[in-house]
Amino acid sequence: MLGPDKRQRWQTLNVSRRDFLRGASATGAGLVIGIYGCSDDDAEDDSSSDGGIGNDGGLPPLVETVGYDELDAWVAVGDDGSIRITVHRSEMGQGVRTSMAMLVAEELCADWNDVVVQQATGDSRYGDQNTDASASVRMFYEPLRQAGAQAREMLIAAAADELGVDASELVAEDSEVKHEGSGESRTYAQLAKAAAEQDAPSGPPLKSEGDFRLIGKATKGIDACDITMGKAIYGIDAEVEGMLHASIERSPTVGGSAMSYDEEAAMAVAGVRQVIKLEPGTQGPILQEGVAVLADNTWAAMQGRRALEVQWTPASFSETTADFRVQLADAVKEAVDVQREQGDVDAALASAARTYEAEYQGPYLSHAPMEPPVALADVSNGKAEIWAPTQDPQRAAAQVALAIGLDSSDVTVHVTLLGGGFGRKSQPDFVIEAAKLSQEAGAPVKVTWTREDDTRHGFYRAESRQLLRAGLDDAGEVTALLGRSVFPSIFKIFVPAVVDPQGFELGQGWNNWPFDIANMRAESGGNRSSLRIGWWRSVCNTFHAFSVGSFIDELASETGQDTVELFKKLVGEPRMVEEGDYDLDAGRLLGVVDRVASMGLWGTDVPEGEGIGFAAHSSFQSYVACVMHVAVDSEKKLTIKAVDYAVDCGRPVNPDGIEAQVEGGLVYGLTAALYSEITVTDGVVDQGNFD
Amino acid sequence: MVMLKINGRDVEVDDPTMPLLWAIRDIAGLKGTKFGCGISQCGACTVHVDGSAVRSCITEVGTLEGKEVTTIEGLSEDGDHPLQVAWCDQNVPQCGYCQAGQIMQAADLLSRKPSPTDADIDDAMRGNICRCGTYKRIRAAIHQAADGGE
Repeated sequence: MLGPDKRQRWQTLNVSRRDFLRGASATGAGLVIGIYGCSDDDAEDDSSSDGGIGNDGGLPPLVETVGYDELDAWVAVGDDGSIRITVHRSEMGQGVRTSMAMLVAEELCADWNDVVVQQATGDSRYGDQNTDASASVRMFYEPLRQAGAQAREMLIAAAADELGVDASELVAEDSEVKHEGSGESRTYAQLAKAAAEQDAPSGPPLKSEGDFRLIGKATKGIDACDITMGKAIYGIDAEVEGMLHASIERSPTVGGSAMSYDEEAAMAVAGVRQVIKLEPGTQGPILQEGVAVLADNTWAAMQGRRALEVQWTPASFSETTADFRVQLADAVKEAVDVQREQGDVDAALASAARTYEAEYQGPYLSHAPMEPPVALADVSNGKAEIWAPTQDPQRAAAQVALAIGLDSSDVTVHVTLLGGGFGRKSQPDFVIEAAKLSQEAGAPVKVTWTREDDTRHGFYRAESRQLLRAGLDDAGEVTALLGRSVFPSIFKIFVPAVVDPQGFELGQGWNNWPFDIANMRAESGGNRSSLRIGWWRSVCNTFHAFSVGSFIDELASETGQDTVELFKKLVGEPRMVEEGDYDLDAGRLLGVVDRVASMGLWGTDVPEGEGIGFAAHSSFQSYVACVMHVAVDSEKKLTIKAVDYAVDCGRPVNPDGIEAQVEGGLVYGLTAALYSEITVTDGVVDQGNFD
Repeated sequence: MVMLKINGRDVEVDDPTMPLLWAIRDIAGLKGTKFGCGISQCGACTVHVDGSAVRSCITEVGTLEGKEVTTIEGLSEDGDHPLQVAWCDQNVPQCGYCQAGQIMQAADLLSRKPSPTDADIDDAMRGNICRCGTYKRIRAAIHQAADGGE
């Protein structure tokens, strides 16, 4: 078992084994390894006597002497007893470095206290590393358990050889293999070398759920304590010797270009080394044109950038929010593309005793991760080494390769912790910028975005509008439902001519409505945007859950029904809804609805000026129902008094992490609803910072 | 040229107009203090100057001659400040980027009000943004630290 000090050091270790060995075998000052910007000499400083500032950066010592034997792509056993588990998806606060390591450790029968986590570089041998669509656990629940089970079987086989017994007589538990008959046991560390020589078994047996010891157990974040000490390494903390700091002034409109700028004034700022014009080439609109100032430190780069006074030509097409909203409002008035239809909606609406209709508008939203986009690149000798808080290291590597004329295999992307991602850091633009600048400058370059850069050069949650119209009979029962959703598609960042919403967007709460209404039609349409549209936390589910949920609540109010009862009536029988890109299990949805309605808030009486709302939705194959108690005072100030949530996300791996996501998702959603509108004037985003 | 004292160590900075944040990060090489907004609106850069919380992103180093700067790395020897312990116990961090600033702000609060109410906490912490939304656990952790780790 590791002592606490050693454990802390390993938890922040974020370099590949090759880097580590290179560091361990080299001598002399000035060597820089991985993302730790300090030398061998620095590492030997005594950091305990000077307030924790001993080695440069206050970072943990660099040079490790633990030898690891790799059993498979995910598992290595150290000669000090540590079990190194590789996590190949990006950590941005959603907890994958903990939950995915738990999946491996469960089947490996490792003592969780021995586990250290190594972050994978971008490498296709791990499979899909594009950390989006809420997919990490549901995509890798089985493969990671198999990786753990495979390594466990190799350790057991090694023990069987050594003890001269049959493998079936051996049991793996708490990082040891035990022979019950003789009482003999071997630690994983003792077995590692021989285990690594064993053939990897195919289809190793997996535990039955009743035997789980880690899966389902509330587990602390593996990086939590490093974070509280300021030791965790994010993209903005990456550092290599001799690197320059860059700040980039980008075109305020998408597609604009620099007419003129004052290079001399920028160069006159103390610490400024170079000014480089960045052109998007074939990578627009992912990449924006910009003028970069490279300097000895971040502040000097920012000051130099300010002195540039860049004059821009505007983009050929640019929108203004007021006009864009009129276009959306006009668009939902007319029929658009039919995505799903059952019955005869037009006839049912025409013959209805009355109809009820509402429209919902949602603005563009910026992700605003606390850590703005940032990346460090070192391009030299036909290779590129990148350190970045990226959600998608394989795409980043491919795009860097394209930008600087290398093969993807010559680009190594080290994934740091992400100071928030929310979909923004799926995009490779900031990584490409660093690589292009490093190539041009002939030195390592770190690009740090300002908050204003992040707000104004984002890939926004689409601005959208939904119209919903219900036909009601004399008794107030719903006989027909028509919906139109209009928004610009994300897909135009790949194919600029695409305007209309795609299947992957409509499957997010639109063409897979859970309802079983005799006459029902979901339509969709696009609208041309001059901004770049991107994935924003749960993507199109955000506006579809809002509009559909609000509409059901209004219908209940309009017809004097209980919202929960009406929602359940409209959903109907438990069944699979197999429409569009995401199947939906109506039974699971009804399950969370019943659960939340029984938690206490729903059905309570509230005084004048207060209300209790309900909504339920399925997003990326999780099911959520929510009841919220709100108050509005005479000055229209909104107070959230209490919230009940019921969540069915399948088998919970780390329940504490799921609770944290729900707590945080609530805050993120409320912030979006109340404070986060992004508006545009002539193609330029009006907002800039948190003020 | 300005001579700063950061966590007890002397650090020399050429440009007196440089914000303390960038001197801490780029000159002293201490990475625990984070950049979030640059205009004192988010609190990620919070450090202590002579024991009080300040936003290092808008504090010019030229104003700090003779003062003691403490960053998250200097808050305790081994991460055993009651707030750091409570933060781990409550499993507060999600992405974690803002948490050093949150802890430094909370340490300032506890030094002034050893037993803060919810309202005291909300008031003292309102300038520290967490986009992951860990506010509920931050409040619980501050109460835990205030209650002596219970």
